[in-house]
Amino acid sequence: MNEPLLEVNGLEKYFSIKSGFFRRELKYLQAVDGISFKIKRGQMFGLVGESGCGKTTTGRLLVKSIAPTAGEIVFNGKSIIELDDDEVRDFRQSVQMIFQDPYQSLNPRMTIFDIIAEPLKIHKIGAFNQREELVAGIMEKVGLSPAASFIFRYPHELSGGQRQRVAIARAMVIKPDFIVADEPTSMLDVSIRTQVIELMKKLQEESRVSYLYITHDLAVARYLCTEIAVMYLGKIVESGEIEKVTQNPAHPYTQALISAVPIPDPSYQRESIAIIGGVSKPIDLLPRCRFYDRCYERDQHCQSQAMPDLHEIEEQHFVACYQR
Amino acid sequence: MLVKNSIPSGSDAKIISESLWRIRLNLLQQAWKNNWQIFTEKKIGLVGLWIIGFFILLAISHPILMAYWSSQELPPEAMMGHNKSLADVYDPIRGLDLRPGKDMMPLSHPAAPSWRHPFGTDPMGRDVLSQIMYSARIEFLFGVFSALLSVFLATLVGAVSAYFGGKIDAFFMRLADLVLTLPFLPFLIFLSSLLTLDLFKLGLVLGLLGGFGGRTIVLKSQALSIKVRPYIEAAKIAGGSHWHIIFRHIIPNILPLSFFYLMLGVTSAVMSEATLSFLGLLQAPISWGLIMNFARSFGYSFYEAWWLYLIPGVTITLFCGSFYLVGRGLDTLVNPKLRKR
Repeated sequence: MNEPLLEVNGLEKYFSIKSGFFRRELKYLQAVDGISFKIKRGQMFGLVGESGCGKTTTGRLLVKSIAPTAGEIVFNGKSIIELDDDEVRDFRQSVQMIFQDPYQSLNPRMTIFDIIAEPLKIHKIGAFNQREELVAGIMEKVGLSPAASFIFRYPHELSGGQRQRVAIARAMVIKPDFIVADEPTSMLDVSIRTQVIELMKKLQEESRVSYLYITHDLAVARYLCTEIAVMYLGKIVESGEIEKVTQNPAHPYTQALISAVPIPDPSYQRESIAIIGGVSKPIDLLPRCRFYDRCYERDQHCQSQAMPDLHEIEEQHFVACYQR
Repeated sequence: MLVKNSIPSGSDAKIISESLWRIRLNLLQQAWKNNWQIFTEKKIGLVGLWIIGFFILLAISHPILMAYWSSQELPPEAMMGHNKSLADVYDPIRGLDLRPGKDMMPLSHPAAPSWRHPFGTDPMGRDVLSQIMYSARIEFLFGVFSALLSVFLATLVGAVSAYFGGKIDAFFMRLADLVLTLPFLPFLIFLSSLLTLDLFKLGLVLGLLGGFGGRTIVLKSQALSIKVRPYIEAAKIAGGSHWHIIFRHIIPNILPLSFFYLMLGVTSAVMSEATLSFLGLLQAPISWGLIMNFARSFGYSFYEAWWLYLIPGVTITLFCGSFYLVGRGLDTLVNPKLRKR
């Protein structure tokens, strides 16, 4: 249970920004800048951060949708950067992704059956009528029941929550080992959100699939995940076991994030942490702490030193900050 | 085809009582019905369909009429020349009406519209109505063939160059620029001097020019907007090959626009054909443009033989217009902003 299914070492993705008169490559957007983490089998791993911090890029890198600039992704003991055609096919069969926007991630011209059965068709799993059984079965599992009344509908006839269930069914139908869920609930109604989160938790417990759960919602991450990494401008600033990170946040950014989670009790007074400014773009950054410009605990040392590395402050709790 | 109760994992799985192909069929019917409703919301497309239907009737009824005419033997006193039956009189290509009129004098050709020849006759004594009906069938075959070819090519090339981008895209787009800047009519005139241009060859040329020209650019731009949708990435992550993504995801989503261009394609093909045959550059037994061409080359002006210009002219306009109107009707299907609801 404890050997890692997926291991990421020093993963980098730079996007070149062409500008200037001759459109020469002048700048790089450092979307993901040297991150490392491990995901165990059957684990739900949370990746938290605000918009534009490189969460989604990380997810896309892990499913081999885009190629990394540098670094290593080891899946099932094999680096996925250089695979031959057969190995790519196997890899595609064991990894799936659930997208943020259920309105854009389902082809409007395909029926629900065709959408869910597409991975089966691509990987030639099952004969035609077996596929119908498989699809109907997985639809019942994700709560699209009775399957008969949904199976040949089109995505536009379904609500947002139902569509996201279809996306989940599609990701689950070929029984992958690893699923990247890219903010699967952020586009949904609050009332539907809980149902979908519950569904994902239930399915994960049943199937023991590993998840990378990308979200900006710490509360959701805490509910679902066992381990978490907090990203800021392409770097992981804090990671570790979920309870340790959320109960005892060490990095100023994590502390600020947690102080922003709403509390149901209005009489409870919590120290609120205000951070300075807004998120900047990770273009040609200065070689110092990414959070320096917005940090309320910065000092001379922070200004002159490079980005701090993650170091263990307690068991299974890492932070990248000079102040800790 | 039934989904049985033996779904292995789901214990609460229900039997889908109706067979799945029946559900599929019902939904397809429903989709057709809905689309038909949207299509008929604006009468413009319906008018076009009615006119097309009328032309189809014309085209179908011509061989039937010919069969009827060949059964109508002429009385001996009317049997002049080789005419043995009405079919010889009304044949669109070889026909010649030598029968005497009421005053026992033969008709002088071209004859103005009368009961005997509702649309008159041409300078060679052939019945214009029969020619119009006979040509309708040819124009249909020609127009639809050329439009299908051009839209098939444009859809495929547009989707491929949008999906792959890079050098493939650059090549097809420069080719499209070349086709667009090509002076159309002079090129066809040049072509007719190189080879005997019959309807099939013209259809091929128009199809190729249309398929690699402006329509490609429009369909490519549509395909570009499809290419960046997350469901394309989802298909890629699921392991779909390039061709799987192009044929299963991109092309079905640009197909409505292709249908729209199919209709416009028929219009433009038939118009080009009419122009070329009017100029006498087309090798064809008869066509609507050729009726006018004959009148002109025999030296008849509009004032002397108006029916030889007016009738084919109106026919061409109606025919081309009807496909254009259907295209506009399809536009409401393609573009939801134009819908009333």
